[in-house]
Amino acid sequence: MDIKSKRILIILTIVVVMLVALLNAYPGKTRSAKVVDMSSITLPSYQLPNGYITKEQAIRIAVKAAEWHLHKGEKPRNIQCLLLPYGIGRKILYGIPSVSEKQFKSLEKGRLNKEELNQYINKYYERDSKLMYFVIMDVNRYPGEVFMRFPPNPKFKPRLIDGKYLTTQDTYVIDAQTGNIIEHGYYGIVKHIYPEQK
Amino acid sequence: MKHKIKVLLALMLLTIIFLFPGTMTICKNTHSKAYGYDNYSNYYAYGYINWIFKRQWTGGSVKFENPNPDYETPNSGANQTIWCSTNSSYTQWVEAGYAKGKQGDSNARYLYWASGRYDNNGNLIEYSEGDCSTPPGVPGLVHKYTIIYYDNPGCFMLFIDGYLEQTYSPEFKKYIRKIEIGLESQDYRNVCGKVHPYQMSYFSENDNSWHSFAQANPKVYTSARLYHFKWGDSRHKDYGEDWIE
Repeated sequence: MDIKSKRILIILTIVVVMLVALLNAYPGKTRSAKVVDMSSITLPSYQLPNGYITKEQAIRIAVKAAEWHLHKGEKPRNIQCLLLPYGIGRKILYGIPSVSEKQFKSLEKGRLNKEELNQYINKYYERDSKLMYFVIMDVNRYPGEVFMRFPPNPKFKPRLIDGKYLTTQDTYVIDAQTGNIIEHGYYGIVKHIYPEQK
Repeated sequence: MKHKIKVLLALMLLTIIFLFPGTMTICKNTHSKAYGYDNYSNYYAYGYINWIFKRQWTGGSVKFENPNPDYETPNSGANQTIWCSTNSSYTQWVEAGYAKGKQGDSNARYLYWASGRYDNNGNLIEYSEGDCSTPPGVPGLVHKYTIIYYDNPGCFMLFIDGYLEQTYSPEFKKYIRKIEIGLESQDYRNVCGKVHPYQMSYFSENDNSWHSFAQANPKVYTSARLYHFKWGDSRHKDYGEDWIE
């Protein structure tokens, strides 16, 4: 190797080391929120059976739950609420596919007899057809107000806006019959604008 | 000259390893651990069996005995968990387990599912959790929790005792990189005596079958036993210890 090659190699080494050090020092910047805009979609309305909770009641339940761990003065905002069957709501809003009968049969092959399998499928579809309120709202949370089971790494912490708080879009799925919250969570850097409902 | 180049390359490698310690964790032997840390000012304490690999694994399964005696959670919740990372990452996951205590009801007992995603820059994308429809049953009752990816319909699914409880978003893509099984307490004052996992196993797409943790390669797992966790007191929040019966 001649002197020129050696110099190039040394320079390359220094550049690589500096680059790696820089990447480590600045592992990533907080992204501005990505918006998933579904407002151009119009969904049908669903008739609310007697005795079910109203949209306003569902929103109150969700807001109360959101405020449970929220610092004083902070109020949820941009509240959106849809009334949808569970399976349809998860499919449209979260992109989670429903399991078809055919898929069920292949999953359960050899494990359940025909009668058990039918009961099982009916149970699944019964839940999928239950009316639920899907409520979302924007909330500014301090790090201590963000609940999460088993984060991926004990040292893994979310990046904060201005080093203070995290703006989340809280999500609540509320059983329209019982008023129970059956799912809750939040979006971090992704914000959603829900479809319209006639 | 060749010697100098070798030294230079070794220095580069050492620098990268120093700056990215995660690159050397592939064969880390973690066995069973319990430790707590101050996470966003909440207290979490973990006991887990950690197992890191690079394989085409698409499922994890465990049998858990409901805690007996049950957890005492006067101030906050606790849960025993199977946790599977997704998308060949350490930052996206699906999980399920038995939980005691929830917002406004410290005596609530339920089986739960949860999932979460961060991007590679540490930004939180989403987190969600919910109750399963299977009732937890009495203390000591055993449930089997299985999290497995199905190509059709293309998502992870959670089975409890063989029944489909939940389907996860297709964003949680195939291949599990790490499976943790253990106990989590959100308050050091909780009393969480032990967690008893049985039949911890993973599903390998290579041969389309289940294997026990002990068959993992690299082999970093110890056998299924009773794991006890003793939490540190309020002055030692970041300390916990465990032992195996």
